Amino acid sequence: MEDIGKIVDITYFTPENAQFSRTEGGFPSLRAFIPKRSEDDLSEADTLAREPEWQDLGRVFLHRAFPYDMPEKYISVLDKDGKEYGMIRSIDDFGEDVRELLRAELSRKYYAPVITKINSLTQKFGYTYWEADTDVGKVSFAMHDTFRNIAKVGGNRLILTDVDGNRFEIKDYLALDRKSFRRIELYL
Amino acid sequence: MKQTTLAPAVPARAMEEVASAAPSECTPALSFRFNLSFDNRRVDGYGALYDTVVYLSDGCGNVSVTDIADIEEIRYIQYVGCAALEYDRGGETFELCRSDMINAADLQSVTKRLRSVSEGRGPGTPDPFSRTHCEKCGRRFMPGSNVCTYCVDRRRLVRRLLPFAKPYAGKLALSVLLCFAISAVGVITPYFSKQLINDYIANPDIDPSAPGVLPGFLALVLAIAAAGLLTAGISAVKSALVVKASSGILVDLRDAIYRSIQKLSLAGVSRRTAGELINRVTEDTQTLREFLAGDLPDIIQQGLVLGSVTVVMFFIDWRIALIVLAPVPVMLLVFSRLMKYTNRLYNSQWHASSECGTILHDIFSGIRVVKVFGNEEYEEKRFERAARKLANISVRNERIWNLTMPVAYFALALGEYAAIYILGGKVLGGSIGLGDMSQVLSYVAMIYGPVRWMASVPRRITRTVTSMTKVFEIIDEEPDVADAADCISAPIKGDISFRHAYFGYNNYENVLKDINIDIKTGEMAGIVGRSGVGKSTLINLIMRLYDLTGGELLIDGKDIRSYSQHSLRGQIGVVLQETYLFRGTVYDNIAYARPGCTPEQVLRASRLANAHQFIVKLPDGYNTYVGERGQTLSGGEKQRIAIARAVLRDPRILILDEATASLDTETERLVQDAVNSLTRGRTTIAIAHRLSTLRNATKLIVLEKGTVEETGTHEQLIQSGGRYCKLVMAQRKMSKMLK
Repeated sequence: MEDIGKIVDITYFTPENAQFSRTEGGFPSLRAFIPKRSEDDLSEADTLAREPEWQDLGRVFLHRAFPYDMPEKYISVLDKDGKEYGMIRSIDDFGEDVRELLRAELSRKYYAPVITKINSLTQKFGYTYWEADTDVGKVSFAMHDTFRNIAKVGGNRLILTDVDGNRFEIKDYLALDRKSFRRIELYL
Repeated sequence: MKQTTLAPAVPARAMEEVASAAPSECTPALSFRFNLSFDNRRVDGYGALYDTVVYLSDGCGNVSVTDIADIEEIRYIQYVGCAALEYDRGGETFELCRSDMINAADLQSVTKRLRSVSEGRGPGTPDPFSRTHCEKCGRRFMPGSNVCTYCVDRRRLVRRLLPFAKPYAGKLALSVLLCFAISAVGVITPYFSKQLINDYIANPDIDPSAPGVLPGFLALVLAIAAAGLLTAGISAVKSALVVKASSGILVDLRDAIYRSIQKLSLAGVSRRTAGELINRVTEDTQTLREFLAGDLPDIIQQGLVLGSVTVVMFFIDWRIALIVLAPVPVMLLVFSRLMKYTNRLYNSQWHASSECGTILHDIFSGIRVVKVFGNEEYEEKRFERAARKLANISVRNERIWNLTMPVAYFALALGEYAAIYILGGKVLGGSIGLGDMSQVLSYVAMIYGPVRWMASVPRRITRTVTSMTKVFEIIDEEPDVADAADCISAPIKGDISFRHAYFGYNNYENVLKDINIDIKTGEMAGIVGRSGVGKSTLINLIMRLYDLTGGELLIDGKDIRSYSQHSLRGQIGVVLQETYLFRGTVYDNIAYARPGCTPEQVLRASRLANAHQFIVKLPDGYNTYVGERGQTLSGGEKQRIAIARAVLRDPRILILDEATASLDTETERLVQDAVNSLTRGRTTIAIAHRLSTLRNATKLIVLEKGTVEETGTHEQLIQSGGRYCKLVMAQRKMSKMLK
């Protein structure tokens, strides 16, 4: 039997087959050495048989495959329709300039202030109202269905999603100060 | 009250900067806020559109000016936890502004309006549902709602409820009178016991053998018993009256809200989840009923008792009354605090127990997967953990409850002890009789009894107001696909034409762009395109489940909005991809399309849809019970029932949305033949992935990315060698491979 790894192959970008640069608008763009992709999934030509060649892909989009566990590893590189060109194994595979470019793009895509202290937490009509200190300053937000909107992701990390869809992160809820912990404890 | 989440403060600085940069004599056509910079730093940004120029300021002196008249595209980009507006100019992409999700809904609507401006169609009007915060107090609305529960005029709400109470006015008035009677009896009873004790039981001078003493004694005992009986009797009558009235009101309310939901457009309904709507119909109205039947009479009754007892107490001895009443406000406060805390505890217990239930549900419904992968042990541990957590929480809660409540009751009783002390002293000193003491103590109990209950009254009232707001919001909502005042109910021929039609389900994305299609009566139009391209949307528009956002849709040359929805849909027959059979018999399900039709018409329709054969083979024939808990039918069988349903209508326009996708080739051919004989003289629109389904189509419309890419007959399109030709080739290759 053939190993699954041999049937499916993921394209990994490295400095050898991928050159990232910055567009005029400040977004990452990619020139890569990969097989040309068929423009249209209706054409009959077979993608697999194509030889790789250098091509300008223009602006590309990044997406973390493991946003919580490995924020700088296994980054999917996508086109504007969300089709994957390939993956980056680790941002560290690239030089300083590219690392900075990729990190900036990722931090623009994923926005989640980190909560360091919960100043007040009140409940009314099934809503909880929060006031907290974060790495970007004081925030106040409301959560609905609070239990379900606090996700425990790996270890003691929490991701809170408020009524608007904003996300807040608590790196380690056990490391919060006593008062903050007492406030959030009921919802864990 | 504590400040709850407010909308971001007005970005005054940024507004000033924009105003000073912009042409001073104009007012902006639209404005918006944003709160992140390009690299996700927090700012207080403000943007405004003057003519076709967007002025942006981040409130730190950085003002940017962008003319959107010469941009290629503007779009809303959803990131994770934030969103941005981007535009293309000269083949390059630039970011206009970005924000966290607080402004997301507003930015979506702004994108749409800016796009409209850049395409020369003007800024339009704001979408009412893009508002997420109350304009008056800045509080967040509840999901799927745009009425602020804090700012809503409560008196107006109560007035809204009055018409529902009107048919039951007599019953309600009578029950209030009965409340008066009950409280009067309640106040008098302790007076009888006082007489009983003072004049007979604790009277050292009494001579039991004297004439008139025994009858007097008996009369008092009987009076006390009669008062008890009277209270019970009046209460029973009162409860019966209130339950009757409130149930009637509940039914009327549910009817009203259900009718409103039915009137809403599909967009209005799908903006809210099914659960949310069901909640409003069942739970919120139930809350109102509980309030009308339970809380409100209780409040009136207890209020009357408390009031009259207090008055009587002051009349008897104002000092005692003050001592007794002093702890009441304090205790009200303590109890309401305590209740808030214990509610939180019980809330967490409720969640833990529902978590337990969810895990069980998860394991049992996935039991095959669990067994196949041999993970029984892992699941066992998972459940055990949840069960243990629940046990721990309940133990902790019970402990806290058991520790606090007795203490609270003791504290409340302190006032009573003080009263006993003072009254007891007076009894011993001989200034009052034992009966007086008993009477006052009875009153004390009557005051203290409902204190705990009273502490929860404000909470009950707010809960009711919340429900009331939600109920009336739906009842008051104007359907956004509404019939025009002068709409007509006329038979249609079936000519359909789209003229520069635009449509989008959400604010920032048009699903259909500049659609121009003509379908004449008697034509069979096939719509082709990959999934998600807008095929089903197109037919939703023809059924007028939604209204266009731009352009025109004409039926027989007249705007679709000039027909009444009822008459329009009455002349359209639809078979959808997913068939939904209601609970009932096969016959009911087919006849659903045309209430009052004859059995022969149903037989003919199912014959035409090729359903007759299999239906008569069922043991119960047309009386076979289907739907939930009914006979299981295969996908193809359900589909044919649905086709029969559509056919029975004898529609002018027949719409088939992947109607034959789940049929095998043989059955599909049969159904196709049936449909073909039906399409003569009617307009048929069919969507199909399997192109062979469309071989009889007189016109094919190929959609791609929300626009019409090609139209023509099968031959024309094959000849032109475009997308359709490629699709046909690809499918032919596939079927060859299968052979």
